[in-house]
Amino acid sequence: MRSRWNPVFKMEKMTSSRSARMSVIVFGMNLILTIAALIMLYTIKHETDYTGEIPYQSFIQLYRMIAFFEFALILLIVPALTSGAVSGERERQTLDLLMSTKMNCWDIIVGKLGASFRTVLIVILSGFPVLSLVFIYGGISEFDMIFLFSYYVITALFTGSLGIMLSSLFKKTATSTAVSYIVLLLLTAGTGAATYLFYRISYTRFVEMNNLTFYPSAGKSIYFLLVNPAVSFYYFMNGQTGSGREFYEFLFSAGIYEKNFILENWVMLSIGIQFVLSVIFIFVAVRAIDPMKKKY
Amino acid sequence: MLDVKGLTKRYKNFTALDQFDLHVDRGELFGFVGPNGAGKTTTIKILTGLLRADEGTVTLDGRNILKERAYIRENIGYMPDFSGVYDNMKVFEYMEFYASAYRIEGPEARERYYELLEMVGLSQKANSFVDELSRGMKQRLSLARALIHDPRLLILDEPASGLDPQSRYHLKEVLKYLNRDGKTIIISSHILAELSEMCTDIGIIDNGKMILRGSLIDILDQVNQNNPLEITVYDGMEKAARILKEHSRVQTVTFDYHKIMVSFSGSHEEEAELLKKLVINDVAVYEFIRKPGSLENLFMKITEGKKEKVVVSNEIEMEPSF
Repeated sequence: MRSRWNPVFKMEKMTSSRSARMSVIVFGMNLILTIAALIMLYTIKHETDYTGEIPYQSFIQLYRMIAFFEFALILLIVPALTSGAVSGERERQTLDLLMSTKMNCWDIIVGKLGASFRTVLIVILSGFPVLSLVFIYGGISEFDMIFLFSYYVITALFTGSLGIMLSSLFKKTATSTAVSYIVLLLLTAGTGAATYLFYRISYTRFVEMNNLTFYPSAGKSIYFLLVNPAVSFYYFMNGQTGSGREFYEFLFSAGIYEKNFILENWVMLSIGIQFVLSVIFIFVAVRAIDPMKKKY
Repeated sequence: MLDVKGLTKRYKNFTALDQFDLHVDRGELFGFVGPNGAGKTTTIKILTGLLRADEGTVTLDGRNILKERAYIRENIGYMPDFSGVYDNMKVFEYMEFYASAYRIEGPEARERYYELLEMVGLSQKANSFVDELSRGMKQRLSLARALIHDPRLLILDEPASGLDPQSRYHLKEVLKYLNRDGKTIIISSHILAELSEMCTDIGIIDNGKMILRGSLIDILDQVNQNNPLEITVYDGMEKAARILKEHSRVQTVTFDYHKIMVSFSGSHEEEAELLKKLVINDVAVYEFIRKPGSLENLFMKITEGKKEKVVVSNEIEMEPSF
């Protein structure tokens, strides 16, 4: 009889549910979210008592804060969950055992990624009741929340597949974890810094040239930010909770004044790029553990 | 059953396997011996599909397993020298997991793994956590795991390393039982005394080449033939000395009180003839033995550097590889 579930996923599900790690993460995260939400509610009540007005915008801010917090949490915990997925098997000397079974490399990688994904989704979903406080006075629809969740899924897939790939490429979990965080830092702060650097170079030229027809701009380097999940999330959240102009103001500050197809469809393109990169990362991970593809 | 021809594996400038040949027949319990770095684990990893070979062919029942990996997985069970385990997993769950990895599910899987746990003596531990088991128990569990899909060929890499004598004995008994039950087993080990107790055939690998291969009986026989005859004479020492010195198969004779050490290159039949001749000539022979050799002696001898090709018997060949 053929298994309906991936055996690696099933095993990881069972062993992780016995470990205290998952409970600690869920409890810790929800504790922080709840405290933040209670402080926010207390502040709103306090303000209402004095002014007689209900500051509805505060609920949107609460939603925004929790959404950003959960997004940051994904970037922080997914590498920790995935960077030891394959290297941990190597360290435990169980990878060869898995490879000698009827499972193929895809089964192993997809099972590992699925298990990490499941953990992240549980953590994220557990925070949604607090996030739903926004529904008390509205301003955010159920669809917005579904879109938010979908964005989280893409980010978790992107960071998770990156972690799995590095875990397959490096033998030690400590190395793959460190490299995962470094790569993630390069993708977020690194691309931001690169764009800023290009803008500063352009600005220096502008000062030196003293030519009014030339204006400083980050130019095409701005497109580096398409692989930056944080920038795209910022754009996405502005669409949901802001005026939608904040992202363009950010672009103006980088000397980008003209809209184009890429800038107008930034989030969708960024999601597409993250998805394509995730597929590439998974392919690399599968190839990295396939003994027949390895020279040594 | 298993036929390996011209297997070659290179790691950058180092050749781990150099035109390595091996043949294992169905039902054999084959001992695979060699010093560290000789190429044993490389061979085993290639046979189990965990490493790519640079050259050569490996066929199992005529099918090229280097190309048909699915066939390896179905028909070969692999037990490494150290089997890692997962935290928070019970013995029966461990077996269930590997059963599902071989697409065996439900009652069929349960029946199979309880039968195997019973065979390796771990049925009482089915509900214990794997990481709480002793090293010996973990090795037995690993053996049960390797058998979950009922493979025809079982390959074990140093299965007894790090085990206490009791665990070794238990493992040896299980392997003997499996072999009697029809499983073909290849076992690599450094513990030659143990291999000589259970293997039907052995092969010695050194520098990536098979330098000796044959049935254990023939090999040990040959080892023994190179050892001196030890004759203890109660009376008639002079007569014995004369007979021995005149014998064409005797190379050297040394005397030590009642004991005579004879370097004798004859067959078992010629040995019997010599004893008969001594007795007929009124030599009171108290003891007449060929000092038993061991696989260790042979192993040390051939891996220490023989230059010439030594034909051990019609079936056994030692090739120079040094």
